[in-house]
Amino acid sequence: MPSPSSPPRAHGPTTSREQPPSIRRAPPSRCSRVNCRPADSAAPDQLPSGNMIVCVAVVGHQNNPLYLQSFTEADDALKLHHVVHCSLDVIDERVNNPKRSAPTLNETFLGLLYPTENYKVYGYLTNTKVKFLMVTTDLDVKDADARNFFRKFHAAYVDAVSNPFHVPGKKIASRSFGARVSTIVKSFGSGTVG
Amino acid sequence: MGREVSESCVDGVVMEMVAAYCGRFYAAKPELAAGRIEAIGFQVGHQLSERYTMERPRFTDHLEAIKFICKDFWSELFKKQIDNLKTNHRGTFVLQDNHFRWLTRVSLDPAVENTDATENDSGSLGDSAAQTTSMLLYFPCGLIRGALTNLGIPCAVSADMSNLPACSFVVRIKT
Repeated sequence: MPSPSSPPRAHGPTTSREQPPSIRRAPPSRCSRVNCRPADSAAPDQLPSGNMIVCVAVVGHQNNPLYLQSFTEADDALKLHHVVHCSLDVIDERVNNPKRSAPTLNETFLGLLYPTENYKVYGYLTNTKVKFLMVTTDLDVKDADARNFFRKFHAAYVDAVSNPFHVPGKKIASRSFGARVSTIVKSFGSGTVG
Repeated sequence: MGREVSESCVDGVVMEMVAAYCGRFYAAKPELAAGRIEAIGFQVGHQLSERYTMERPRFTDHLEAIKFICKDFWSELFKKQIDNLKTNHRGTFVLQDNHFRWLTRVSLDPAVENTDATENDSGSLGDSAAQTTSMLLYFPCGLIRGALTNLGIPCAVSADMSNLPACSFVVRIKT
């Protein structure tokens, strides 16, 4: 039954219909008002729809999970982790057979990895072979937004691993990293526009 | 050339770290002290390489990563690039810096050098002076090794200094 995933799906298209790209590029004051209203007025039940990213992950160079966090109220964490897990194979494939993605050769941003009916998975692979993954329910994400998100996410990661108490290759336990990531996730699709 | 306060602080920290490890913690075991200093450098290099490669595309081969170390990494650390890069194309690279910033303020005591030259008996004294200086190079060796390892290139790095402000780092990539 697709019951856990249907609420965000139902909200996703409606919000995107309310804000077509032309309106998103409207003057900042109007833009922010449009985006803020759902979060301010009806926060409890509309939170999942404003929060278009449902899961983020950082995976080390040996495919060891460094950070895995889902942002849904529904009990579908396992499903999201499965989606993340499957996407790792797609990254491996992209990197080892670069012919198929010739224009984006060696770029850190890998683009859309793995579209399913409910989710889209975007990937990012750093020079140090650390993989960043983002699962979103928004089915029309702009590449620039995703890129921007990963840039901030990567910056947060770099700051977290620069902590002398962080052990390389171990899970990131830093609470401030978690807080920073959830801020970035929340700003995705609202703060980044305009 | 202008010199900033923070730079003198780094100089001080590096020298004090070497002095502390060699003179206090592991006074009797210089190899152990060297290993510890190298490990600190490794961690720092590991973290810095993550930061400095943030905005650039992934490297395709070893040479590109080494060039990154020579140019961008070195510029970030020492405000200058490596002066000379040599390679045998079989996994060994020699990075030569003619004016290594962390060695510019180091000088051997001329009295020790003179006695070393005249009397063969006190050769150990001169040796220990050279050893103390070479201890300063374990940290930058670790920096290079940490950065390259994080970029997916396991390697061994050793340093060689012939005439003082100049020194060269030999990178041997493990296959």
